Amino acid sequence: MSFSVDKKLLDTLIDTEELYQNAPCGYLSFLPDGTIIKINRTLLEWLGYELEEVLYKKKFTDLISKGAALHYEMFFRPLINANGAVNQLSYDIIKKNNASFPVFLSAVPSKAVDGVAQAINATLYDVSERKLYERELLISKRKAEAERKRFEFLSDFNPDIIWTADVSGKVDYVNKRFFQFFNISEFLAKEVLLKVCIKDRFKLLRCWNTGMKSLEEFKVEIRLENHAQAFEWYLIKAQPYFEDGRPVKWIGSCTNIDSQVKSIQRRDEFINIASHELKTPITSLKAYHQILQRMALPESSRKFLLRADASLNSLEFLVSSLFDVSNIDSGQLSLNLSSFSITKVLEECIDLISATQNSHTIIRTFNSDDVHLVYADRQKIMQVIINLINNAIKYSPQADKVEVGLKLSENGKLVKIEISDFGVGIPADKLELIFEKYYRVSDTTNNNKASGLGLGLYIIQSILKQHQSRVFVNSTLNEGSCFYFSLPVSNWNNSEPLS
Amino acid sequence: MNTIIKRNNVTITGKGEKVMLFAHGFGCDQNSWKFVTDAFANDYKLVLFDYVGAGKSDLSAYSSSRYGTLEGYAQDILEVCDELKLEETIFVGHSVSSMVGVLAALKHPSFFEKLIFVGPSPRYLNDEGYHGGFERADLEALFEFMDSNYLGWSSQLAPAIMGNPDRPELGAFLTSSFCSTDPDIAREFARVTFFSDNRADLPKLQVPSLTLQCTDDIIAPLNIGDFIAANTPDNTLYIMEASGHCPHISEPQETVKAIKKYLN
Repeated sequence: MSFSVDKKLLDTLIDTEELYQNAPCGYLSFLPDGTIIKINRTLLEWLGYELEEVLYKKKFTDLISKGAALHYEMFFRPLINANGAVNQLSYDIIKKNNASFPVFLSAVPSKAVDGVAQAINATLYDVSERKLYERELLISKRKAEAERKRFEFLSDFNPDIIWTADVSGKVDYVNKRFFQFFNISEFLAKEVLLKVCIKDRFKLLRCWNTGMKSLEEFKVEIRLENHAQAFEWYLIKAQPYFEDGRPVKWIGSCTNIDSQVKSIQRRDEFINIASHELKTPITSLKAYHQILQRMALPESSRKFLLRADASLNSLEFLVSSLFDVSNIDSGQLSLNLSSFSITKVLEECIDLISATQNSHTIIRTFNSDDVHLVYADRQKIMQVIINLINNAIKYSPQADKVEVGLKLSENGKLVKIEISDFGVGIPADKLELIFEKYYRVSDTTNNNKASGLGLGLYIIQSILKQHQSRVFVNSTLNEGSCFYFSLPVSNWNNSEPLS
Repeated sequence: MNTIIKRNNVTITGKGEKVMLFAHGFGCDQNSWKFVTDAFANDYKLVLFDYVGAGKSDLSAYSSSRYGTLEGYAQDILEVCDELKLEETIFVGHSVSSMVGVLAALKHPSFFEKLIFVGPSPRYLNDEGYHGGFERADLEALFEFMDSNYLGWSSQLAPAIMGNPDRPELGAFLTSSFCSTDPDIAREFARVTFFSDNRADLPKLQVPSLTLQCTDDIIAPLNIGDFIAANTPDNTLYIMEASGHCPHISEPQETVKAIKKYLN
């Protein structure tokens, strides 16, 4: 079988002359000096000329502006000889009626044996529509440009360092403040790291890398060397920016927080020294108070002694709270671990509190006979429980009971301690704040005046964190709150007889 | 490789001793000489190069301050001569390179034995008593045309498209369709070229020179050849039959013949 097709048949299929004349594009042939020697009907129609007005009478350069003609002489002719083609040159073609329309022109030379162009065949596409789109695109681009300038103005206006990075974390913009601070003309990660205090470099890199990987906002406090070669504290914040649900950028800042950090340091230092210094005279006061209690004094003074005792106790509690906080802040909260029965500790705590108040009944919702051993710091766990029960009483003045519960987890590995009150409850937006240092709940019974130092829950949380645990809270307004934490059950008994 | 050689993409060919140094004109690169160089390859050592910003030169070496005047381009020529230890060369410069050659020869005459100008012009703009061929508006039209010819895109848009690292093929297409790879450089070169005025330099030239003047060159009209001949010591004017601004491309044989006639 043969695939050769009758040439005559092919000729009837495609009329090349017709194709040339009525193609959807213009065809033009001209000599190197521009003299037009051939042109198709499509282009003639676009131009509004008759064939005889053009052939050998017009040059290609007559159809274009003077600027374009200069370009033809300087670029087009050398290019077509050197490169053998020109592609997609954009010309405005001038019609017979002097109106013009945009075209893309591509051309190839017809070359003689010596390689010099004898004539040039050009194809012209009408791109009026594309030019319209291009104009729209240009407007959008200018708009985006203006938007970017506005952003840069805003960020330069800001006294902080502002930066952006691509999704991979490569910094691609920094504001003017950055250049002032680092005294370099472009962002160089190495130069920046050199200014970071050597103790903070690893922290910064770790936060940066984990942040970039997880695509979650992060903050890190570091020290940067300033122009006076002194270190100042800065807070770096970074947040991924999403477009259509896809992360496209990181936006970040770097703020000088030196005065805040230093004033907090000074405050903590003061609290540390003050709580230390106050402990000694309180101990002496308590000793003298005990001596006074043992002396034979008139009955009328007993009442004052009792009041003095109560005041001394609350003073001691306040000072020891401050002392605890300063130990926590300086990382000196050490644990004295042992195995003990949490049930017994709960009992002790309930007894202690019951002896000092009579407004609330403390109800045990656990079996006092169960022995649940935990491995923890007995003293500190007692402090946690007493604090939580005291809080429960303090914040439910209208109620008359507090519940203390104890539950074993399903796998028996954790024991959960719950302290529930029937007070006013905590609004949902405050639940996170109550564990913060110095946060004080407004006391509704006391004209919204805050009471206490705002340290109780912070200390409790710190103690439990040291035990790899945490205190949680469930609260319903006007029904009450339940604070709870868990401790791992211990299987061995080292110090406490089980009696 | 040596930095200047690499920076200006210097190529050395030819079997002779005497050096012919070819300097391309505005808007092109050393490839524009390819139709004439063969004719000299047996008798001369041919040194070709691209100005910084053109062809395969090192674009990163471009700075607007250095190349903001023709002196910057003349410096390229001097540095190439210095690097290759060239003396008494025959310098062939096309278009604006003719005046760049004049500037180089004024600074360092011993580098040059003869200067050959192909389509030169000491000033393109018309001035009182001087016909350069262009009004300022004509040149603005050219700049505008160049601005709107960047792969058919306006240059204001093109850098955004070209700068797209995800589509490197766009940049590659551009280099194949344009002699000068960078539209910003081309635009600056155009302004430096067309707003230059070297009329005062011509009388100071000590090196003998030849002007090849085309008959119908809209860039350098006929009277320019006369002007140069009248104002430059030891200048020979040769009026070519070739038309256009690039006789070394459109009429290489006539160009070669005219140069050989002058040299011998």
